[in-house]
Amino acid sequence: MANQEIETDPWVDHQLTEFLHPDDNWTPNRSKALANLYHRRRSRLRRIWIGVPLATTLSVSALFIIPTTRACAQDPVACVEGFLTNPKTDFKQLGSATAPTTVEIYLDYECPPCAAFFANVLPALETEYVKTGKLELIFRDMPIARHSHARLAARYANAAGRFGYYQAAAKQIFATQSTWSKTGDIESQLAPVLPPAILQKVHALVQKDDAAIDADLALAEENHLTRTPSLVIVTNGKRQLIPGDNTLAAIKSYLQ
Amino acid sequence: MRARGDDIEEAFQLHYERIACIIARVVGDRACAEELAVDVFWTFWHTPNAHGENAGGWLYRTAINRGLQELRRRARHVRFERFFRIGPGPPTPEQLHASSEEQTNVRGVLAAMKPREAELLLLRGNGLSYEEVASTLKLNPASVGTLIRRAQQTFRKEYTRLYGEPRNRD
Repeated sequence: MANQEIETDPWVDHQLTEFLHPDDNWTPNRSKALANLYHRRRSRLRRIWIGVPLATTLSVSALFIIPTTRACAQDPVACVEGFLTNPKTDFKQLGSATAPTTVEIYLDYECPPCAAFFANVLPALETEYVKTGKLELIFRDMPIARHSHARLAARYANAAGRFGYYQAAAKQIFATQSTWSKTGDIESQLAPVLPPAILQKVHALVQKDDAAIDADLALAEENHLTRTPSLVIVTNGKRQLIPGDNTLAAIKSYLQ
Repeated sequence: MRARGDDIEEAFQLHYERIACIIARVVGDRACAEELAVDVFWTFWHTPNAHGENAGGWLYRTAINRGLQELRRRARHVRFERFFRIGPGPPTPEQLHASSEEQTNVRGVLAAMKPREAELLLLRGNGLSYEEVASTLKLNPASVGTLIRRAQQTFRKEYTRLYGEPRNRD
């Protein structure tokens, strides 16, 4: 009884059989369809091979970049804490780390001969030796006690360096030395060369960053340095102070 | 469990033509039917539960579903065009070949019906017995007759609502 077919509506049956009639003259193209199926398979595999590593890379990057960017935007101090936990220190190096010779330059931002060295000697040294891979420069802080704003200036330069602006900041600090050395207002002198967001971060970082300066001072003491600028040439592990006025000619004579 | 390519190819060789013809009957467009048939086998490839003894039934049901989905998509498209007063594009050669007014009406009614009722009518219209319809749609065989009768009533009612009283009414 269950499977006995009950009376159906003949008009509906007619509509469905008459107007949805099978297409007797048509044979579907089986080989084309099979090729299409395998093509989809290959495309899917290709998408997986490309998409999965790409998505993984992007996700991992986002995991690190987004929180950092947000933290820095919302709370520069929190961002700065992160920098201090994992300080970036190589910003004070210039040139190839595999160069045969290294010169450590001990600077005081408030000392006029240092400003003259930075403006006149350093560019020539950079062009002739650093860019050609012959020399690596390392900038070190040596604020002299009698220069009341020298340590603060070093802090500003180092803080800017942690955000990739060391050279720009150091150059500007030396260039405006005569202005800020009277008031100690270094930040307003940096405003033209640092983007506002970076300046805000530098401002937050500058009060907290003394460790690098103290380390450089300890090294200067170890090398018995008494004046700025002082240049120490390091070749094959041997350290030697370049005596005299640190003119380009004097330095070159040691680099031959 | 993932299907091997050999299993898929075997199912394809066995069922493809039938599946493509069923879809063509529903949508009235050969090229579209071939494309949708490939869709059906693509889904089959990624549905391990569909493999095995009931593969034929699964393919049959999915094919009809895809055909009905296509009809509903076209009906939506027509409504959209009417709403925004976009004139219909020129008919494709397939449409010119396949369509008559009454064919279009029947497809319009199927697109407007509940999917399960439309499936029942199409399976029945393809000559499947009550047992086969019940097995394909996983229904109680005892209730298939009643459900088909109810689906036919819906078809008639929808037809009248959309196109007026049937002219060749028995």
